[in-house]
Amino acid sequence: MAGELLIQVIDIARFRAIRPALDELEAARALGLVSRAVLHEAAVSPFARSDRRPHFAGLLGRILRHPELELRVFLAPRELDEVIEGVVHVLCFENGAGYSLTTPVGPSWVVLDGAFAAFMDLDWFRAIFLDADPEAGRLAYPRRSPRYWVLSREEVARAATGLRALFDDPAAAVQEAAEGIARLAAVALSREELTLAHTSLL
Amino acid sequence: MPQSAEDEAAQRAEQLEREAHDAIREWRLEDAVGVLREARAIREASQGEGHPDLIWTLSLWIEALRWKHQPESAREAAHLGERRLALRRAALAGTPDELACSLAELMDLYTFEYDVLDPRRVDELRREAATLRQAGGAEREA
Repeated sequence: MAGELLIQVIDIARFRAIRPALDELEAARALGLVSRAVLHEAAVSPFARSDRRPHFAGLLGRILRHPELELRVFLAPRELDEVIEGVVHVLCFENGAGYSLTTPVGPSWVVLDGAFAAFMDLDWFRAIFLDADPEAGRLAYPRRSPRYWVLSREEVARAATGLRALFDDPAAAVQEAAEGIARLAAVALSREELTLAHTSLL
Repeated sequence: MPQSAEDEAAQRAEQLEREAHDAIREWRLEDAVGVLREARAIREASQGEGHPDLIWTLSLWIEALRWKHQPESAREAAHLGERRLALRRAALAGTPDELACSLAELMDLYTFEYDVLDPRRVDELRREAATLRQAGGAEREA
């Protein structure tokens, strides 16, 4: 596996709750009242307007302005994908799924880049993050690349335990990344509805 | 109640469109185009050439062609874009702001890298979009 691994905290219960709205968006027909309420909630989120999703707020405005129209009539497929991805990021991910490549360890994310090789040598890490069944644990949305995978609570707990061995690693980047992931794991384990999500940034 | 042949055809076309959408997301562009060719034929035969459901079939096809990023696929995308616009004119007749967005989308299809494939057509579309935006703004003010 090449590239970087991004690890973030996701509210999986929230994702399950809005899943019917995501299915309805994916069908690209007219939206029902519940789905429109989900979009409205995303539209008023402080994370709706971000450099990472420059068109998202505008697309939500267009959809909400025309409830009578089927999405497939006026949206392009890539616009629909942007809406679905944006809704998941804004409503389900901590901090609106924000992350930074220049600050690899942040309050709600860890980007494994230079330190990735050291983690790949660990059996438990490979089993949880790299060698898992590609279908199992895959988040149903967003469907466009990059896809996300989510960990079970047992996997989060296993990761939290395994990471401790790296807290004294001589490489500062490895130590910092291990502490960052452990912090995210602690957040995820603190509430039943949370878990860790990861994706590959190629 | 048994499904009509038309319902079955529409379901089959939807299934093919879902497959094409996933193929585009996974960069299997040739697969997507092949599947969409079949979906279009099904929709045209069962629903007619003017049915609004064809808009999505064409939108997916256009997207696959655009990702190919070749001059000839750009021209084909613009050609399909004209057909999609004709369908959208009917479907979006009551929403001039959205029709203006569709015109802008078609203008983009006529642009490949820094070349405008048909400057005269793009100019026509730009003028029409400006008129529609004015109409849409006046409608909102009223």
